[in-house]
Amino acid sequence: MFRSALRAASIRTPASRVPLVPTLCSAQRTLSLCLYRGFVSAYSPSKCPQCSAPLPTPLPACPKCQYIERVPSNAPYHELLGVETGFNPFAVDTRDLKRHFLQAQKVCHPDTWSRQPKEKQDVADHMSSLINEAYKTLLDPLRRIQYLLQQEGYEISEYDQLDDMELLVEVMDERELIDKAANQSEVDEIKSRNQEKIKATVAEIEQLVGDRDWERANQAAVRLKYLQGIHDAAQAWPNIDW
Amino acid sequence: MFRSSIAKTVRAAAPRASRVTARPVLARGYHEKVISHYENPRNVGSLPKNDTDVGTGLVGAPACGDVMKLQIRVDENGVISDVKFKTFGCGSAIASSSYMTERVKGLSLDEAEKIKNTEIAKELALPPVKLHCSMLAEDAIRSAIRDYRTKRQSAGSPKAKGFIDVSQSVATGETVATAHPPGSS
Repeated sequence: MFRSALRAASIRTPASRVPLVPTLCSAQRTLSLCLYRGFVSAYSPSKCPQCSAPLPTPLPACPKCQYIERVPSNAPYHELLGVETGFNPFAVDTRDLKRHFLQAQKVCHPDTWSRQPKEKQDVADHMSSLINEAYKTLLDPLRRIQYLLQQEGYEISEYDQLDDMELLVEVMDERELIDKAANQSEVDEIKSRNQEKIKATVAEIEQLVGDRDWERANQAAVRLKYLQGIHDAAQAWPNIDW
Repeated sequence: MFRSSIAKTVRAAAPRASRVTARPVLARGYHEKVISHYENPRNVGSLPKNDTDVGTGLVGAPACGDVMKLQIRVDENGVISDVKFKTFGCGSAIASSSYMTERVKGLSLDEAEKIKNTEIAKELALPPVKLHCSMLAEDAIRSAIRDYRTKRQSAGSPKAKGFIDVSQSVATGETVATAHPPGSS
């Protein structure tokens, strides 16, 4: 699908996947799973190391004794929020996600730490914005799959060109229809047709991530991005620039 | 009475002032040529894609979700007589394709094929992060030319039978000669 498939393959090395404890895992296939789990043991003690009270979230932040420790910026988002990933990190229950997000923010929101020393405030600040980013990323299916693909070493270069003619024609046709639409009901029709495609593509991505078929998940992610573009254009109608 | 009219003047002046300042901010981000092409794109539209003298290039950049369609009509002398584009993407992508349509009109296919993205980027003063937009425009014209040539080849020559088609690859310099004897198609 991409001309730069080779490039994507070449950067898919354990070194670029980084983040936490790659030495724990030997098999390439299980590496990603280990990465999701690695965070728990390495960075999130279930008991506060200072006062031994049980911690309310996976974050190393204790509301009892005001112990707080910096988490690395590349900490896996699922682990940060304490969301169960099971075997499929794409399958996220958004209500569960929100609950975990609110819990995490309660623990590390800068307001909670405003009476603490500057260093602790800074750590809380950093953690809070990291959690916001993690939540926003995991909440949106497109951003979620892009994040997971990035973890797997698939990063779309801005110089990549789309070779999937069928998708290009489909996207161009729909965009032109929105452009030419005479009234809201025409746009709504395009929008609902597109919504079905988005739903199907998200389901397909979930399946592919479950199968660890990253190559095809990558292609489906591109399709989702274009479908999202159609949705946004339909949403913005008749706000046309020219 | 007097005081209130001053207040009114001040209030009226405030939004105008903010509108005035909004404009240079935009101008600072993009070169004025980009804005000119973005606000007033040249040659927007479509040509009938099934016409034998029309070539269509359809390209996309998955990273930003842009799609670009560029179509050329080629006259009997092999010169691009008409060109249209449609781009759904950022300002730089629209400007790049708009500029490209102006640039290729009246050129032969061989000349049009040689236009490099660096020329577009320079002309529009695109920042490094937007270079890929000019590459998309370069790819679009090449793919339109390719489409036109494929069409002509598969249709055979509509004008006359009994000729030899000689073409040289710009990239490799390799020359290909194809015979079209009378009576064949």
